[in-house]
Amino acid sequence: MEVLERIIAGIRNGDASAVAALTREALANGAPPEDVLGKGFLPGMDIVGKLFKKNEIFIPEVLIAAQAMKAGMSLIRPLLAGSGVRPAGKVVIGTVKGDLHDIGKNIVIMMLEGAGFEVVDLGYDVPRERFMEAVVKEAADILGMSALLTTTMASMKDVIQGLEAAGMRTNVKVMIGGAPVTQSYADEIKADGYAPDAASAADLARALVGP
Amino acid sequence: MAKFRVPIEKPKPDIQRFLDIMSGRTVPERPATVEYLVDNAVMRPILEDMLGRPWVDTSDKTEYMGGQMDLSKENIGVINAWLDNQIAFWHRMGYDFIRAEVSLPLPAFSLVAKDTAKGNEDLNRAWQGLHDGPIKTWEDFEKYPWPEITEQNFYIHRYICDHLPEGLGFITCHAGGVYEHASRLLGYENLCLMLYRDPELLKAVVDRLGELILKYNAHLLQLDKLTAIFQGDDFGFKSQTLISPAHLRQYILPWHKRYARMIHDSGRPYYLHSCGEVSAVMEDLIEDVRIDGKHSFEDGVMPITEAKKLYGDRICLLGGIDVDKLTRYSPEDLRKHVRNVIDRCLPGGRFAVGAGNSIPSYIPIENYLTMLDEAHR
Repeated sequence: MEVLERIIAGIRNGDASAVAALTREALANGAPPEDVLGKGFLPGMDIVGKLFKKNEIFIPEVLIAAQAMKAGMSLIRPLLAGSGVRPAGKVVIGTVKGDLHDIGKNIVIMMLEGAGFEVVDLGYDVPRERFMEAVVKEAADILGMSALLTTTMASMKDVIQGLEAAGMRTNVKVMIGGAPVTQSYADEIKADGYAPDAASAADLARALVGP
Repeated sequence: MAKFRVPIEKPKPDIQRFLDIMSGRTVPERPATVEYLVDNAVMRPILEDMLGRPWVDTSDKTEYMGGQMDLSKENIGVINAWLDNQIAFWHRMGYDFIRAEVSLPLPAFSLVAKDTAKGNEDLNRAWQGLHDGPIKTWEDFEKYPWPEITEQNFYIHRYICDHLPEGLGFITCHAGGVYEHASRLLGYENLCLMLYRDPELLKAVVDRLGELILKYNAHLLQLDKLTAIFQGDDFGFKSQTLISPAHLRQYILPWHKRYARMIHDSGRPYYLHSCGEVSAVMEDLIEDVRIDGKHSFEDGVMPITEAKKLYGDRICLLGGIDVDKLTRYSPEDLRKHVRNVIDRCLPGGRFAVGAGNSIPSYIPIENYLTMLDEAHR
């Protein structure tokens, strides 16, 4: 099997040591790091995302797949820095104020990174001001917000209104998700998109930044 | 605030009727009501303002999952007064049973944040640590302070049984099921990774917890006035199970099957509260584990009206009023929604109306009362 295909299989199977070894092998054989990324890691995580979306694999399998990709990424990241490879976009993401739940957000981050996005993770219990500062500082294409609670999801509206009041709303796309969040809530607060699961969030991010 | 049919001045609970409705032997004109947990923030104003009872705060004496209840001579009067309030609340709010649960002391990591419910901002809420737990290695497993089950663990259960008003049943369980506690002790992320990196340690933790809960249930089943075990064990989140159905079948469901069997052998039903998208294991739960009822429904996952069509002829369906709607709907819209759910789920029996999950602090009291009022209409 072609080494990049074996990298894809290694990510799908969550085999971190195999992915690291195969990445070394690919690089030693002269494969450009951007090919290892674009034809190995990203297609591997794309398969993982599709299987997750169809409920054919579950969070544990996504976590070990993401760890496998990270094992390979740590080897090519220094090489990519000078290669001119650009991420699919930049996402600033966090769980809203008052909410300490971040597993869902973390899975979304894995899927976004697996789709080639650069992600700035603000963590959890993030106040409106920090979201707004980070959007400016990072020149983010997308702002992602997560909430688990009915009482905390109202903060999403505050952040969007804050962006509007500061004249920043047109500079960034806003996507939201979390247990109580729905498409109708996203429409109500004028978010640009809602995703019901982490794999859909990566698809949504791709659609929001365009081709 | 509008006038409501609850609290009831002279309630006439009938736990046998409740059980008959749940098993399908009786099809009622009005639904039975059910609740899983009611937060102090909702219970307190009802007890104080509507029932005229002084509030008894035991929050620092009745550690929910972490510690042993303080049953010292100095504190026992407070515990008894707290239990009297609990009984009065469930009785006067028109339920056919009181549901109360405590757990063995199983210390784990908690995250604490300010409560985000309106009017409750000066209080804290504790959340399970998501990443790590106290057990990461075999050494941690050996050193963990695994509790011994003693008669003291059942003080509140005996007190409730000794003080039940006529007709009122008693429903309980070990607070937190085998999956939930494994997730607390390992941390959810570590549990996920352990499925592949160290399945033997994961199995050892699960089985140790499983045995503890089995023994705990054996004690509960000795209570003459116990009506049912209504166990909580959340298996899912919004779009799937937290671990694969295959892993649930391998590690977790066999324990629930053993619990169901021992509870059935004592002539009582076994109801399960399990949140999230769990339809991938519903057939296992019904046909293999043999649960008698399912609780926890979210409209964003599976509305109870849909569950009624799929499972309503085999098990009873409990609760079903979406917590988000209970929180955000106006009382008028909520009343219409509750009526719609009742009209669609009542035919054939095997249904009790209540919150989809529980009554957390952020549900407006007026909405909680509206739901019950419509149920009693």
